[in-house]
Amino acid sequence: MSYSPNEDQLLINIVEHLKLPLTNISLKSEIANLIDIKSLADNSIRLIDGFILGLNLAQNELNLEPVSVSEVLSDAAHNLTKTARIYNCNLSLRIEGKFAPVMSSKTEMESALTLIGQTVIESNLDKNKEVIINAYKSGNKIIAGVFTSDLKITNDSLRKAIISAGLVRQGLPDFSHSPVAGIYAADLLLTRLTSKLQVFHHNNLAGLAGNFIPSQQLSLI
Amino acid sequence: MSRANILIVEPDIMLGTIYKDFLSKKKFNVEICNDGQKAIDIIDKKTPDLIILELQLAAHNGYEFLYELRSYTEWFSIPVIINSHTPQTKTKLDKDSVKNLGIVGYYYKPITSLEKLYNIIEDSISSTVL
Repeated sequence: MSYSPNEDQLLINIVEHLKLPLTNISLKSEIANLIDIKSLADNSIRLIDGFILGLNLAQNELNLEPVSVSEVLSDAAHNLTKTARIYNCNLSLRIEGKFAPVMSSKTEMESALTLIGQTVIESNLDKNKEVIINAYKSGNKIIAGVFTSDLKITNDSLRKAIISAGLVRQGLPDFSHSPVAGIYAADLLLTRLTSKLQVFHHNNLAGLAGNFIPSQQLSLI
Repeated sequence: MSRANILIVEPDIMLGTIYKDFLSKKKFNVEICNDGQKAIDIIDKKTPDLIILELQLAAHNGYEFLYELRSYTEWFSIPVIINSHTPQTKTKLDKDSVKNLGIVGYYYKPITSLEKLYNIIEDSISSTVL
């Protein structure tokens, strides 16, 4: 999917505008104690923010900083707690080992992982499913993403879906009933940060994750 | 203890009403206005204990409002909380400006719940009183 800079800016303005009614819905539903509606509105705001971050990353220089993958995963898990509760999902955080920092961008990485988590949780899988925000070492890389036993997609189907983003309503029919826009936004972010969004298998679970290379120099500091 | 006076500068009428209704039900006297110039007029008549400010305002924007507010010495100590649609990373406000302009907190509005805002206000007012 590519647009001209002018079209990108128009798109950003439109989606930015959508955050205003969504904020209204979020606050009104908080007053009415409609936590599921509030969560829907909050997640939609996160999706919009992730999409805008992705577009901005594509147009601007990336501001790299030392980032702790464990901290980002913790923050993403915190962001996903309410959604997991609403969808009766057992969410857990699993950090397998100690990792050196990576040179990346914390805001964008957290947004990508939160969007992946939202998509996995909201997909039409079994109730009481296990969803694990997981990081582990694989060779010299850190794999960080969201894992579940119910993920029925492959790298091939994921790439095809991403290529057809915007052309079909339901890019990953085996996985979700929704347009899985969060996956596209997360891929946009991860592609600029490190690697493409990929399907990984670990501990009999499948996950959507990115891989990050720890900085050898930072690990010495 | 008397109710604290809060001025909310919020351009969106619906959001402003939500904030006003919610905070009035707590223990605050809430005044609301939708642009920076009106805010200056209101403060001139009755000095609030705390200001909650959206930076994205028409005509007299949030930055201009802040600089004008702080140019009057009698208003220099009024704490300001920014609750804005503009994330802090996208503002012109660096750490020094935040400190110099008496901003006690910066929050990204779309993810700041009413309950969180209430707690922030409580903390700000109690630390100001202390």
